[in-house]
Order: sequence, then structure tokens, then C-alpha cells
Amino acid sequence: MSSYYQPYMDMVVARDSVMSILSILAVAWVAGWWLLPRIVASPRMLRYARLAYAVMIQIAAILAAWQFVRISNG
Amino acid sequence: MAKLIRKVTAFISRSSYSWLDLWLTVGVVLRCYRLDQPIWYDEAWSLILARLPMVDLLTATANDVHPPLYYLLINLVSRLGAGVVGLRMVSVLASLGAIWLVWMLTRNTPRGVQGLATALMALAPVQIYYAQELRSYALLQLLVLVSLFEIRRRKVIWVIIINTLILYTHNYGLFYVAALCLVYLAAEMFRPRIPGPGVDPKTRSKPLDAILAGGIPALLFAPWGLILVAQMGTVGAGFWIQPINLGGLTYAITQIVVGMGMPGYMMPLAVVASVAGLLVGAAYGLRHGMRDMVVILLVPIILVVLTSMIWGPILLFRGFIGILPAYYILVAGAVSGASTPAGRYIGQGSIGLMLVLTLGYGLAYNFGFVKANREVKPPSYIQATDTVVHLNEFTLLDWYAVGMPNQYQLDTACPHEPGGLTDAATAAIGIQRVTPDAIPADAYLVMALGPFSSACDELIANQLAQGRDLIYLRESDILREAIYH
Repeated sequence: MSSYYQPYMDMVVARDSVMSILSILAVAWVAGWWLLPRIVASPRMLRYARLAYAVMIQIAAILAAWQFVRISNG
Repeated sequence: MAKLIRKVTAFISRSSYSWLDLWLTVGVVLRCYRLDQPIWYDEAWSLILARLPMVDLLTATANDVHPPLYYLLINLVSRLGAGVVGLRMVSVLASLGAIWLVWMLTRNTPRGVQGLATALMALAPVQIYYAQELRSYALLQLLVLVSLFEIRRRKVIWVIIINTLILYTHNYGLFYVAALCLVYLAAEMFRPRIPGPGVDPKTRSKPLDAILAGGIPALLFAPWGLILVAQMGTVGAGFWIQPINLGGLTYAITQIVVGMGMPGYMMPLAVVASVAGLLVGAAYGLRHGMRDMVVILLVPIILVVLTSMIWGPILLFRGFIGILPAYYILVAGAVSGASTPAGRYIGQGSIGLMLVLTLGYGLAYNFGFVKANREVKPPSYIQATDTVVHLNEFTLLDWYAVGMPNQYQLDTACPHEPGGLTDAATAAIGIQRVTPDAIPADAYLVMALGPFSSACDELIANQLAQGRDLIYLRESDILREAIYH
């Protein structure tokens, strides 16, 4: 394999590692939204739980975005 | 003015087809805008094949990686005098047909689902992109929808014909035909019979029809199937094939749902929207009797993953275009009709994100507000009649396709890197070769060093470049392009 091909493959490997984290986030988002009402009984607590959950997912997504930009910039 | 507005609104609300009229009109406008934009590498290959005699076309195709139907079609259109815009109209018409079919296939769903799914077909940047591309993807999507439509009508002869055409359009057709046959078989076997316009629930089931709908196309495809087996050695090694892992699969799904050219900082939102939309859409389909759409959505993905794991990597995001109509229909359903608030929220959230992301950034990308760097055109000081010797086919195909006849490929013993065309394919399209010692003194020498090239290419190019002036250099992450004179 030539040296020209290698940077492309390195980028693919790095990108895929971030992508797999993101896909787990997406599944967690759906699963969490479905699960929370089954775990938390009080509507008030459910609101807080969903808010906390959404913030957590957003922070994780922002961290992943930062990683992605880092990879994109080499 | 008020009269005009009244007339327009009267036209829009005149019949049950009003929203279809609107989305088809929007679809036509978006698909015809910038239809003359420059071709890129893959389109250059199509354009060259469109102008070849039939025998050479089949030889070139057999030595490449795709079946020949689309190339034969544009070859016929080319004989009518069509240029790039005319040839791209094949994809435009296929895409408009797909919009109409999504409307027809969602007739029995709630009105909001039908309208939203059709709107997504008309507006999604991925749809517009492939509707304008001189490649077979819009046709593949159309044929999958036609087959699904004919399965609902139980017109087995038409299903057999269309499935055969699908197989001859794209190698991913194998997975779509398998999914379509599964839909047909389930519709015939399960009780109560899944109703359709051409089916009486009281008649006996005909599972044999479903088997014929897959078996006969498979037999008719057998002659090309032998060629396909030989082609697959090249396909598995191509650099455009994604490795099969969770990340690679996620990337492929995101690319086909949200679209190309998405910057890194938008990727997390794009991934969450695509994957969550897929999950919620599938859940909606299973709960609301749209199992055929769930099969069309998921079975091709599952088959591609299994084939990649068992045999060799074949993951190509573009090939998944046939699952998109099912994705739009199911997500549209989840938005307007999910049975739980969570389903609605996630459906709405993901589709909202998808719309904002793709309609905003994607349309800007498609229409040139964000620069798309996919064109490899010759610098302005190289005239159409100049002699140019290319190290490999990366620049060669583009320049040759746009009407520069004196293009030569350097004949060396360097091994081909993954993704390059075979010697037989370049020979079939009529590209001449020149040995290093026979290069004319006034020829331009183009070095395109990237995934198509090898270290051997660079060694020879550097030897040849001795005593010549470097007049052009472009470097990106994966491509270095230098021209010597």
C-alpha cells in the first residue's frame, strides 16, 4: 500500500471510532427516552430526569463534535 | 394580485392531488437548477461510456465494477444528441417518478404522513444530489419503488421484469431484490392477507409468485452474474468501500440519510438524527402495519453487513439510496402518528434536526453556496488540443470526458493501487498509452498522486519530471496534483 493511501485510511479509522461513539449515543437517546417513564413514576421527576438526560446527551455530542473537527483538521 | 393568489390557492386546493402537484413542481425546480454544473470523476466515466459503441461499452463495463443497464440507457439517450444536461435528465425523471411513487405508496396512510414523506422526497438534498448526478442511483431508487408498487398490485410479471432491471442497474440490486421478494412472500403467506389494490383477501395465497419474482430475475441475471464474480475482486479492494464496523456502518447510514459534505461540527447531530430516525421509524412501522417498509429499510442494510462480514467488504453508502423512501415514509409516520409521546418526540426531534441540517446546509452545498471541491478540471493554459500524459487515470478521465482528445496514459509496470481502473477498462474506452521513452517533448506531464497511485508511480514521474518546469501544484489531504511542461 502506498504512502498516499495511508493518510486516507488513517482518517477513515479515526472517523469510524468517533462514528461508533455517536451511534451508541443515538441508541442511548432513543432507549433512554423510552425507558425513563418506565423507571420514574412522578411526572415532575420525569421532567427533571429528561432534562438531565438531554443535557448529558448534548454534552457527549459536543465532545464528539470537537473530536470530529480535530480529525477533520488533521 | 389578490385575484392571482386566489387562483393559485384554488389550484392548490382543487383536488386530493394538490400536495403532490406542489411537491412535484418544487422537485422539478430544485432538480433542474444548476443541472449543468461540472462533472466529477464518476460522472466522467459515465459520460465516456455514453459515447462509446455498444460492444466497447459492454467490454468497459464488464472490466469495471457495475452492471450495464444505466450505461446502455444513457448511451441510447446520447445517440439522440443529448449532452451532459440531457443525460442528467434521465436521473431527474427517475427522481420525479420516485416522488410520485412515494405519494402513491402512502395513499392509505394518514394525510400528514403522505404529505411529509412526499415533501422529504422532493426536498432532501441527497435526493436532489442523486437526481442531478450522471450515475445510476436515482434509477435504482425508482426501480425499487416500482417493484414495491407492483408487488402491492400483485402484478407478478411486472415484478419479475422490474426486479431483473434492478439487478442489471446496480450490484446492490441483489439486496433490494431479496428484500422485495421477502415483502412479496410475507404479503402472500401471512394471514390475514395484507391487502392491496389488486388482491382479494379471500383468494388463496400464492407464495409461488413471490419465489418466481426472485428466481426468474436471478436466472436472467446469471450471465452477468459470472462477470460480477470476477468484478468483485476489484470492488472489495476499492478505497471508496468502507470497512465494516459499527462506525463505518453509522457513517454510511448518516451519509445517505443526511447527505454529503456535512462539516465535522455538524456530524454528531446528523448521526443522532439519522440513527434515531431509523430506530423510531422501524418501531413505528412494526406497530402500524407498515412491515413492508420496515423490510425495505432494514433488510438491505442487514444483508450488506452480513455479506461484508462473511465474504468481503462491500459497504458503499450510495448503494443504500433504495432504503430512503421507506425511511422518509416511516419517519413521517413517527412524527405524526407514533403511539407514545416518546416516539413522537424522538421522531419529531430527529426529523426536525434532519430538516434543519440537510435543508439548510445540504441545499447550500448542492447549490454552490458552500464550495464543493469535487471537480478536477485542467488549468486554463492547457488547450483542448495539447498533448497531455497522465500518470494514472484520476485526471485522465475528467479531461478526456470533457473533449480533450490528446490524452495519454503513461504505460508503466507499476501495480495498480486499490480503486484504479483496470487496463482492460481504459483500453475499451479508447485511451492510448505511451511508454516513458516515447513521450513527446512538448507534452504536459500530469502527476496525480493519491489513493489511485503507488510509490512506483511517483518514482517514475520524478524521473520523467527531470529537466521540466513545475507549472502547477495542488495538494490536499489525499491528493497531490502536479503538472510539468
